[in-house]
This record gives sequence, C-alpha cells and structure tokens, in this order.
Amino acid sequence: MPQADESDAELVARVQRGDRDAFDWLARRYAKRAFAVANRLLQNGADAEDVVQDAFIAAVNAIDSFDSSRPFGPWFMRIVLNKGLTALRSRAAESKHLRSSELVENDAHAISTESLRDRAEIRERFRDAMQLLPQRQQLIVQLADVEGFTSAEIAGQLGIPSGTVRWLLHQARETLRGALAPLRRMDS
Amino acid sequence: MNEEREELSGEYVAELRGAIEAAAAGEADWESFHVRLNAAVASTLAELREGLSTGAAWWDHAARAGMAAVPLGLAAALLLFVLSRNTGSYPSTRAGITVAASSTDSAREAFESALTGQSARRTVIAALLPAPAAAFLGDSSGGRAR
Repeated sequence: MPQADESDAELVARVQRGDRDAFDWLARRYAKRAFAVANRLLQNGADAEDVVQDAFIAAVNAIDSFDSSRPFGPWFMRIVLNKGLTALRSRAAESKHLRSSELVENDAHAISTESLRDRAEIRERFRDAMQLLPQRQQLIVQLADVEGFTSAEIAGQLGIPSGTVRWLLHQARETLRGALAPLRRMDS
Repeated sequence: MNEEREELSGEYVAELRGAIEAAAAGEADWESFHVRLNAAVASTLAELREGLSTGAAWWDHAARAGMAAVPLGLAAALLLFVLSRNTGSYPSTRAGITVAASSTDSAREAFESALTGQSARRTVIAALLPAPAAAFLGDSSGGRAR
C-alpha cells in the first residue's frame, strides 16, 4: 500500500508494474488540479470530469514508455491540456469559452489582518481572490505557477502570443500577491 | 521548473495550489469519480501486471529446461557407461565384422585367390574395414593385381 508522502516517481514506478493502489494515490494527487485546468477551458464540470478521466486513461496507456526519472506532473498536465483543447475544438466553442476579459477589480488588498488569523481562512481568502481572476488568467497562472509551464509553452498550447501570456500572468500574480500580502505582514 | 518561477515563493505556490484544489473539491463527486476511474483503468493495469509476469517467464522456462535436463543427463550418462563397457570388449566386435566381411565376399575372394593368390592380404583389409569399404578395396586391389 503506497504512503501519502511517497514521491511521484515512486508511485509512477509502481503504476508501471500495474499497482492499482499506487494509481489511485497518483490520481487523487492530480485529479483536482487537472479538473481545474479542464474546467477553466471547458466551463463545464461534467465535460471537465470526462477530460480528466480520458487524460488518466491515456496516461496509464502510455505509462509503460514514460521515463520515471522525469517529473510526472508536467507530463500529465500536458495530456490534460491537450485533451481539454481537443474537446474545446470539437465543440467549436472556443470563442465563447476563452474570451479575453479585462482584469476584474478585486478587494484582495483590503483584507484586514485581523480576519486572517486562521490559516484556513487565509486559504479561503486566497481562493476567493483566485475566483476574481478571469478564467483565462486562472488557467494561465495555474499552468505557470503550479504546473510549471513556461510562458512559451502556454502560448504554444493555447495558441496566443507569448507576450500576451506574460502580461496576463503578471496581472494574475499581482492580484494573488495582494491576497497573500496580509499573510506576509503577519509573518514579518 | 523554469526561470520564470524562481522568483515565486514556496508559500505563494502552496497557497495557490491549495486554493485550486479547494475550489475543485466542491465541484465534483470525487469518490464516485475515482471509483469510475479505477474501473476504467483496471484492465490496463492488469495487462501491465501480466506483461511484467510474462517478462519474467524466462526464469520459468529456464527452470523447466533445467528440470528436463536432469533425466536427460542421467540417460546420457547411462548410455556412455554402457558404451564404455562395450569398448572394453572391442576385440569380439571386430571379430564379428571380420566374419561378416569374410562371409559377404567369400565368393569374390575365392575367385580372386584363384587368380592372383593374394587372398591373405585381402583378408587382413577386410578385418580392419566395414564390409562395403572392403568390397570397394577388393575391386581396386583386384585391378592392381591384374
């Protein structure tokens, strides 16, 4: 039975030997983040679930040839992104779901220090700040800051200029850092 | 992962990841999702396990070959023992060949001895060689004699 602190590489090696428990652990580790990517692309929870499931199936089908010395996360997220974009294209609704929007004004800077004593509340505030971002910024900031994609990779995947990605990423980070500013003040 | 992320604090990334996962947690029935997903990949994982055991089957083949080699080796040893025993009684075997060769070519020898008077030499060759070769030599020796 795999352990919660087992590394991705160890879990992948077990999955390559057909270990069901290791696969379950790996899937639970990545499913929600994969869902977030797919849902931001498709704007539909049920479709996003299907994309995540397809991505996991594709990953398991290819796991035999996967080099376990490489990080699993970026490899898997590329599969999710490709599946999501394929689903998006098949619906021919890209313009509807990936429209460019202005950065939504947010009140992240106004969060009072007193209200952030509880860490769970900090996370909740941070999540709220994330929700204030336009969908495209949410997607870009997750791909860049959580999944480790470069601006050029994101630009290539989403079919938008690299400069646009960098600008949107900068805007999103400013908003999210504002949400974390009270936390930093508390620590210092 | 890349130079663009180096400036990011671990705290920022952790909070961002936590926020993303927390937001996604309420948007789907994750237990049902994982049950469906595990069922969907069960056959592929089983094939991976099976492939692994097939890949290791050379051990089984080698073990089976080894098991078969034991009785074959015993049989070969027994055969060698019997042959070595027969080698010890070699003169009697050669005598049998001599008798056979002599009986096969007896008519020819009688004829040749009558013509050339070399029957003694022919008998020695026939005693050393199998019957067909002796018959062939018999022809040539007869020719040379003529």
